[in-house]
Amino acid sequence: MTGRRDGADKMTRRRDGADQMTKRRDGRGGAGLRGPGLRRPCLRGPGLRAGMGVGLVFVLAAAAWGQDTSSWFGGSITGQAYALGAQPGGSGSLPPQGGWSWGSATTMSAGLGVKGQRTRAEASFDGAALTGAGGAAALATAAMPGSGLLVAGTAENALSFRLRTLWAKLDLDWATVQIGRQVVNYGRGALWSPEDIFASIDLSGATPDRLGSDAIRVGLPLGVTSGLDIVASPATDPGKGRYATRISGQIAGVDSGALGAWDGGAGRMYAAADCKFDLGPSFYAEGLWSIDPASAEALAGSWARMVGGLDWSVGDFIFAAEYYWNGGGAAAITDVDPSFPARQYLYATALWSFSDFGALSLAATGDLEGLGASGGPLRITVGANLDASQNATIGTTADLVHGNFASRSSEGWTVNLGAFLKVKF
Amino acid sequence: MRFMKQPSRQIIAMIAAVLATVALAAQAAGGVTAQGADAVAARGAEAPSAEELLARLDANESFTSIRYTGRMEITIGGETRVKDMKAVAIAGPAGAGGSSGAASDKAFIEFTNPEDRGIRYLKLGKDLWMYFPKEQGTVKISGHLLKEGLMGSDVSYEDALESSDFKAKYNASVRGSDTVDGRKTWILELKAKVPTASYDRRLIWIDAERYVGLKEEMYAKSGMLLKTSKTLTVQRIGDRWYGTSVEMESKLRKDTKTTFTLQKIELDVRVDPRQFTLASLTK
Repeated sequence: MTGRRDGADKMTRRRDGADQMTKRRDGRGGAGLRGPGLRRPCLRGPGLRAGMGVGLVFVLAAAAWGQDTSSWFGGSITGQAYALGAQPGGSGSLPPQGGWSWGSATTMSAGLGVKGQRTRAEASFDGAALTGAGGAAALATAAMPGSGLLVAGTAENALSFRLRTLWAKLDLDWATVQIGRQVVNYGRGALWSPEDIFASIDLSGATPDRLGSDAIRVGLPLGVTSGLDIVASPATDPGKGRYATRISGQIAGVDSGALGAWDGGAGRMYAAADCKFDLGPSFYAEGLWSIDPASAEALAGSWARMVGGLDWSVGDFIFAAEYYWNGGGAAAITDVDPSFPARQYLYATALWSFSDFGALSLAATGDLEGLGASGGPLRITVGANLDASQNATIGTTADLVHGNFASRSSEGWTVNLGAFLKVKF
Repeated sequence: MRFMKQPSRQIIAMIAAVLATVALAAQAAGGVTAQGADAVAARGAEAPSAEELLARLDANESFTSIRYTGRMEITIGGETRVKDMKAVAIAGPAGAGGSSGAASDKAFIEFTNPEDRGIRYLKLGKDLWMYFPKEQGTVKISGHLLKEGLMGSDVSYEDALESSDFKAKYNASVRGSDTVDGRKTWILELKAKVPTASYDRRLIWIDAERYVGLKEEMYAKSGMLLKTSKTLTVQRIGDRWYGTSVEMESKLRKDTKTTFTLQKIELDVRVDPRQFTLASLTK
């Protein structure tokens, strides 16, 4: 469904388990990790990292020693067993020779935070013990730029770790300053969000998962419901970092936003806008336009990406659909979005709350041009969740992928069958 | 399937106290049935008017601001789910949106139980936003989503945003007196006068001394009893009495009940207005 965008906590609650089941099945995030069509810059410079670390410690200390301090620690442990099957010769096959493989993943996702009168700091991470094919997939993921995944072990047995967030925030009344790894979450789209230029997305789960970016963020409230956001995500060479300003607010009851950004690494400028409104069903749209101002043929080299979607509910059913147009894809500039290099895609979801504690979900993603021409690529995910008891969820999922989205191959099926138990604390 | 298809005003009001600072009202404790109430219908000579009862109920429960922690326990077939929260709210001026000024009420709530830790709501009049901590994202709850249940309960966002203006939706009359858990009560009957009213008929047992609702029954147009609720705890807070724990049952389903309990209640406290901005959701 629409991930974080739906706003229906019933749905997010039901879906939470489903999110886990495919994501942890192999510890990867691997095949599904993508940047927002833009490479995510990472803070690799020792000076910058040291500076941010000092700032973090300073604010943490301030929070810890301040008055009215509160803290929390919590998370979840998820155990999952899975079976992977693939057709021989199919692209992206696991295992490559076809057939079945088995594995398990035990994942701990934990976070801690401290909050003072004007300060706040939080950290969260995922750690997983992987067996079977999950080890190989995790190693492959770790090799991808910007994955943020650390893996130790072999293709059969591995330990993985990902620092999701680690940030500190200072509230100055007229502004907030947030420093560290954080989820800079722009745009409206569920699966595709062109305006989301900072957050990479882990697509391995049943629903997209925004990952943290190393950034310095200043928020300036301009009113009750509007504000200005300034974000800097400097790389080792600050000139190759990414910088953005976004203004957001309500215009005639329509949630709206506009963004301007500079990507030093790519040497491109971005302009983006988004909106969300209700006409019974909720509609949203966003678009991003990119140009290389230094190019002699700047306009000719420009491209745009747009998303439009809607969601609605009938009784115990919730539906959503999202259309993605990648103006830089296919015959144009294929590396604009390496994970979805074609021109047009469709993402649709449905969720049925079949009981007070259970829900079934169905999600499908398709390359519209590929589907029309050769029958792929296509991904279908079916899941069932049950709140077994307070803070405990069990579930199962079937994830079928035809072809390969990144290569636009339309050969071969892979299937992932999994079951999980998740306990929150 | 939901916990309760049509939540009672008590539960709605208590949730709304989180989201809309609507007065807690019409709680009950006792075992008198509607039929029993009818049998007592002969009004005593000392019975106040319906308008007076409503006015005293409102006066007892009105506030300019409230801060508290709360717990919602939802039980279905022996399975219980617990939601903990902390909340702060300020009431809009009366007349701005019904008797409670709901159209200009502001509320901020943060859930603290492990399953929902960090999820926050901001209510500004008729608008509602939700913050997801994992993704550090804010979403406006609107359109069809307003009909979805709040935190998995059967109290919809729409319910929580609804004004508690009984006068606008019901004709009120005093049906007589009764005794609930040893306390004398006045029985207030509300008959729907607009189609948007949640129930066709409601009976509220109001403590004759403390002017707190102790019990309520809600009926469909067919006369079927849909819901009952009772106040489990009434506390003295400052110079007023307050129902701080309410249990509700749906008569359409078996083995379901929802209990909402307020703790550490502070009324008419000083609240920073910056708490009620979108920026505060992410702090």
